[in-house]
Amino acid sequence: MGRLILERLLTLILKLFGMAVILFVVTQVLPADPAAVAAGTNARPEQIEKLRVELGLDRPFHEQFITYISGLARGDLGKSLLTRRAVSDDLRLRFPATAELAIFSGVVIVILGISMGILAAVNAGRTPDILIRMLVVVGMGIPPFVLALFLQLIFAKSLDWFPLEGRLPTLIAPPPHVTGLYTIDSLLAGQWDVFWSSVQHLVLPVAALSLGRLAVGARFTRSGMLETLSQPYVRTARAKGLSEKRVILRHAFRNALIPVVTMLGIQIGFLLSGAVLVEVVFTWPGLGRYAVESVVSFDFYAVIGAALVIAVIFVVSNTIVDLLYVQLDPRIQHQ
Amino acid sequence: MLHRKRVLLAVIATVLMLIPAASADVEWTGAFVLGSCCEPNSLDPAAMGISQTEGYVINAMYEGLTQYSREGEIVARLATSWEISDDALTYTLSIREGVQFHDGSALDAEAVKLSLDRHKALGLGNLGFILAPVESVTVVDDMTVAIQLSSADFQFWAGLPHIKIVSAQALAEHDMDGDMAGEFFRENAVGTGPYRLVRWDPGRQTEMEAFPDYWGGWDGPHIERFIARYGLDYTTRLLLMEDGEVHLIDWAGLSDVRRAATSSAIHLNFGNPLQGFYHFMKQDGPLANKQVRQALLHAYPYHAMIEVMGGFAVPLTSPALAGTIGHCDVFEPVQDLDKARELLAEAGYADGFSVRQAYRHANEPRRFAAVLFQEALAELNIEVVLDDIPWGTFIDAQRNFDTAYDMSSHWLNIPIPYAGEMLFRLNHSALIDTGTGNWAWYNNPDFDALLEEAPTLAPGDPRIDELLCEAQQILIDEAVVIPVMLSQYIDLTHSSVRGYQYDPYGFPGDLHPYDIWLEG
Repeated sequence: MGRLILERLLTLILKLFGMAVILFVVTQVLPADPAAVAAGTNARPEQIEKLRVELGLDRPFHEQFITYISGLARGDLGKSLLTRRAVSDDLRLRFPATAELAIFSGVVIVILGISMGILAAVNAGRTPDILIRMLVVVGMGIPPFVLALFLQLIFAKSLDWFPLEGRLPTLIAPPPHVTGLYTIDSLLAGQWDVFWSSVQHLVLPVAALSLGRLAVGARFTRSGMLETLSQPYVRTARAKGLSEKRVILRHAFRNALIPVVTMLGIQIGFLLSGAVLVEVVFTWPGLGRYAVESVVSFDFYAVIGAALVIAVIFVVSNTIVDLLYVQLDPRIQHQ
Repeated sequence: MLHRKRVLLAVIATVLMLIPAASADVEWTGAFVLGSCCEPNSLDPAAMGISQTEGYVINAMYEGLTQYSREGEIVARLATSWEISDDALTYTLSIREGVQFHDGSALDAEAVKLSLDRHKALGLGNLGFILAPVESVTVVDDMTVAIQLSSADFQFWAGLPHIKIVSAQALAEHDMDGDMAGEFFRENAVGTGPYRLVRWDPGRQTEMEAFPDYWGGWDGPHIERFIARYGLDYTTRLLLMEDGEVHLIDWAGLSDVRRAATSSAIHLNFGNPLQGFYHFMKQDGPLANKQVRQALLHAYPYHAMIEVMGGFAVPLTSPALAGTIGHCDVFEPVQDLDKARELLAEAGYADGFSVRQAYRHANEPRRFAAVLFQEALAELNIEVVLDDIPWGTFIDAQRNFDTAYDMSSHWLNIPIPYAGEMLFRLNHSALIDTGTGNWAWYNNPDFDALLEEAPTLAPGDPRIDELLCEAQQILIDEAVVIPVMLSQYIDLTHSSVRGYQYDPYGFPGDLHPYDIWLEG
């Protein structure tokens, strides 16, 4: 397992380097003037030139490239043209909001998706299965941002059950920063009202983000369970007189988990990419909105930084999936 | 008994001292929430651009030596009086007594000098040109400064209200390796304004609260907190305003106006900003011919454009904006296609030609203007190929004569109510190949000379008007640029808002939160 982690770590470094190079080259050849955008419309030429020099955009391409890559090796992601902060600082500020959204969505997907998948498989062909399959089709068919708008109109505007947008009400200050996850930080600070408010604010964006992924999870679990439930060892377990609950959860479900775990690993990436538009709709100050604002503003270093963070999460989550395989099926380790 | 009385008196005196004198009659009316699309890049007044998003918060927390009245007159703020030398090279200002910064330090001439020196040295933001002619700032006495210019420049005086004064104490305490506290002031604010910074949550909001020791005092109804929220899309902002959770929405679009008209909770506010919409013609190919350009000046559908804008625009009668110093009416914005045809025929282009036009995307008026003009020119056999492109791509293309579009349209705004500044941005030859203006590639030394001479005159000199008027006439006679319209600034306020009025001179984006209160 140690070797696997080491291999993945080395691969990750190479992948990140490759990505950084490609992104840097692509952003540099785009026909745009980032200094002019950063200086704002109606800026005077001398202001744009001063900014160009300050940001190092006046230097030849190869010099900018070497500076950026050598900085990257030291963990320096450059300076945002838009916020003028270090990109790493911006990412530290923005990432927790996305992480909180993704974690809660992930929990919903795992708990509800798997439960619904098992329920559908056990009741294959019956009413619960039909209803869950209908939900799967609807969930997979509606893009998260469209669902987000519907949820806002119905549950925030019309019914007034949940807040329309944001992570907290305007007049409530965020809890003292520890993790950046308001739910965790408010608990650590003992601010129960802030905790409750942040949970309320999470409901609609989490619902928008997780419904589609939840449907995929349910579908994968259902098909995996149907396959394992027809295996001889399940019949043997039933013949031994084991309870149906034990047969399903201990014998069938564990063996149906490998494709489900694969799917969940991929879902983490989708959660991050899907969060982009959901964050925009819900005014969620996370990585997704930061990436959108950066792309629109030709804030190249910020775009590369955001892309690298997402890449790291993709690779790390896939590595964790690989490690889970070994735990779920020891034969994989021998292979 | 005497001892007990003394103790009681001492207690009463202490309690009275703890209550700010001016707050006795103040009525706090809650938190005022601005729903804005965008976030400031910095809170440093020396880095302030001409973006309103920065102006909203910076103008609430900082003040200048002077300010513009609602009528566009320069009046006192942190300076109480001033003298301008006859040669317009020396400005001597008396500083207001009893003014405190948010960190408790006192305003004096030294703080003013340090602020001005800092602003000039950093040269950030888009207001740097205002202090460019300043040669030195001298402390005459504790409460008097003398500003010496290297050459007379009217724009200095016109722009001085936008130069904000920062705390000298904060400047000294937070200077890091000679950065003039640049890092500190980027995310912190220590000014003398009526509101002080509570916190800036990047990506979310900036929160300010009333500064109890504000020199103007607190009397009557005021907002206690001013919160600028960021990243709200148009629909969300409107939904929040209908529920009273947002009190002001800036830069409302035409579709917002239609939506807002159906809600009794939302009020529309209008104003004429220092911003014009122009159509540029690069002097190349057929457009190098003056008669062709004059034909296009006659072909523009001015009134159709105003109608499309739903009446939220007024025609321009000059390349300069009405209400700015030096403006004069130099043409009548009327479409005359027959005259245009006649001019094209004389120029040898009766059969028309083809041109490429670009405009910055994601903006209804820009698209309307482009399409309307395209349709009008089609009647003259002129084909217009439209490109809807992002600002960064647009400005990159416009930096080079070979890649620049034949025609382009753009909003231009100016930080000071001075016609010469707009004319400079429109067509001064210094902007050629910079991408930041003069997309006509117009190069006329006589025109340039007029713009350069006007600001060297003392404020109030009538020759400023004469020189600038002549410059405006040149641009129309040579059909260098088509002044399309002055689009009204529209913002939306919740029905509970009182005391708010759009201020075109409070640039950029001075909402005057001190004057606002909430009712109900």
